[in-house]
Amino acid sequence: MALDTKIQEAVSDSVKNHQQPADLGRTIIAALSEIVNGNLSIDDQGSIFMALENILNSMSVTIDAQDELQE
Amino acid sequence: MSFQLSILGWKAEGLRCPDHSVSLEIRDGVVHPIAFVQMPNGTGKTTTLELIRLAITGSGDRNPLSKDQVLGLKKQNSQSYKGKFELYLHFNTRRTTIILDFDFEEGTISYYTSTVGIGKQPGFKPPTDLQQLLRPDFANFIVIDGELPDRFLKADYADAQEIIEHLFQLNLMGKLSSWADTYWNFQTTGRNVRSASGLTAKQNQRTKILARINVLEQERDTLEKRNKILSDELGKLKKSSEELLKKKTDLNDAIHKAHEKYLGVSNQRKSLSEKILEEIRYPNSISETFGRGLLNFKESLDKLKLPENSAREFFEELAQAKDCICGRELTDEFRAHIKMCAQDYLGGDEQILINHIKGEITKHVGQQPNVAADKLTKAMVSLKGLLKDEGLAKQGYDLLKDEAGQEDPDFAEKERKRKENEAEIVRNNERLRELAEGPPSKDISTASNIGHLKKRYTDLEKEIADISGTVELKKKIDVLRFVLAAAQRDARVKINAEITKKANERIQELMPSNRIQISKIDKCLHLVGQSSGSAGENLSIAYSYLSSLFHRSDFQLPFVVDSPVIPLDRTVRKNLSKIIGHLGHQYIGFTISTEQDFVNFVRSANEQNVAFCTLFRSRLQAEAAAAKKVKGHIESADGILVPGYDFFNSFQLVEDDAD
Repeated sequence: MALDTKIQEAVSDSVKNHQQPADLGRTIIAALSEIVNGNLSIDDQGSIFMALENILNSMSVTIDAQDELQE
Repeated sequence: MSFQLSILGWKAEGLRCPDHSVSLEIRDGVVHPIAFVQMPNGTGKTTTLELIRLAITGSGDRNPLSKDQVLGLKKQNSQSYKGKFELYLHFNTRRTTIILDFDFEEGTISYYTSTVGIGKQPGFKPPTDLQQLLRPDFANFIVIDGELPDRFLKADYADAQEIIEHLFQLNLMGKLSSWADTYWNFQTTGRNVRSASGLTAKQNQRTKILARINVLEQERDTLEKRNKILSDELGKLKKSSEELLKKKTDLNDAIHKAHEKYLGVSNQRKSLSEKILEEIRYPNSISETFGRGLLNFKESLDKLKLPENSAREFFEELAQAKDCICGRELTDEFRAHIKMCAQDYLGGDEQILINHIKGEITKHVGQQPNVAADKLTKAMVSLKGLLKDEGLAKQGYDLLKDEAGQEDPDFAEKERKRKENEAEIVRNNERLRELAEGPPSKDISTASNIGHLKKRYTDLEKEIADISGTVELKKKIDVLRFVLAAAQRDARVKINAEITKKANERIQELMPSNRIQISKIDKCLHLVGQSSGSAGENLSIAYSYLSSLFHRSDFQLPFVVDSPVIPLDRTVRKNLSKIIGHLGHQYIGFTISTEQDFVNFVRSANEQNVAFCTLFRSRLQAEAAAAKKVKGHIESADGILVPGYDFFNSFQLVEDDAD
């Protein structure tokens, strides 16, 4: 089963709106597709962590002193 | 790829409905797209639908039913305390049977799943791809009761939205977001600072430490250079003073002797100091108590039993040899003796170490624990005397030099300068020692120990690297959460809009003269200009909505509908019959005889694809007699199942019994 096209569109749009590289959209869509088609289990921590690492590596953020982050 | 789930049939035994078995299969894995199962009131229609719901969603496995609920499914007036329901499923190319074993004594249901190629497993184990749909909260969308259409339109329920969330797996983005939080906690467990402001504070601290280290290192270099200059000057001054003294022969001899005396006493003092420093390393020199303790310790070591080691192998081999190493022939008696005595000789690294400890104790403590302490006490007394003598010798020496200085102003000036230099060197050395070995200070601006500051700097560097990674990770995870949440919202809006459009087209097909339309999907279905419609309109809207959903998604699920058209008038029934064939790949309607006109409308529209069967209790004698004339009927202990349209159509029972 493929990830619904509307979800793919929504992910790409959201990535763009958040000024993130287009590659992030592709990585998220790839991860969600793997889950939807059954190759990756959403309940398997190890696999999901690997997918998340790919996603996080595709992201681009700048750090400044104004970033007061919460625990 | 789409996923198609079909209900091939089911079988019930010992339950509240008649024992029966229904097959909806045309050929291997292929089912009738439309099937009607006629069960008059009192036959156990509600029970059968409940059993299908329990089996297809595994709800009784995940959340066990209460004993009363289980007993409510027991065949009435039956002596048996066992019951069984089997639901035969076909998922894409694979057959799976969900088996429910009822134990009415215990009031429990045991689930089993039998899958071709896998075998029978305990529990509810549907195909992986269907696990997210075949769940208790999805049951009402597969086995549809009369209340569902109303629930789709009520704001108190979120059923309409919920089905979209599940079918299109919109919740995956929420789950991925939750995993991102878990990942964050996993990565940062044990780390204290997670903020960019914390990072900035650490970076500022690092800058301050580095600046302080530079200042202190510069000071140290200056002091070292200054000491070198002073030492050089001091050497020259000493040499010059000595030359001046040489000219004063009488005084020079006295000064020379005084200096020699001072040096002699000073050397003795230094030598004794070193010896004392060496001695006080041994605890028994500090106090006789330590000496006694060490002797007791040695005594306990003498009694220590050693562990076995490789030496045992030596004795083992020796005992097994033909002759002893002394050449004598070994008898069994000798061999036993060797083995018996081997224990006394076993030793190894531990033995060597213990012997060494014992030897050292003997060497330093001897047999009298007070000797070393007494010796140190005497040495301390001698040192005190030497220090006094050294002071006096120095005083004598300095007096003579002062005397020489009074006679010669030039000599006096050189001596003054020499003393100044010596004092400055002492001060500088004091400061250098502070820079090298001073106590650590938390206050960077007053800290002096360069080594300690450098260590703090290195630790801070590591910490900053750690925090930098953490802060970046946190920011990424926050952004990812926003991205996923926005994507989920947007996808929901887009899919809702598309489903709304498709559902409205179907509503128009069903009720061409009716202008009722869905305006939006927001938890429930919202209608244009009204909150609800008539029972018929609501059912038509629900069917239109569900059929649009299942056509749109990759999941092709069966529709099992309880009494599909009871509240509808004849016109709506006729219109509805036209779309039944398009609702999904399988429609199973459980009907009573008053819905016969609807069944006939459906048959007219889909003649080749409709299957019929009638199930009733065998106590209905007239109907049973008629049924037994029909070819293919199946009779059980308490029910009769009759296939085919003719019997279905002719079955007219007054529906007045409660089910």
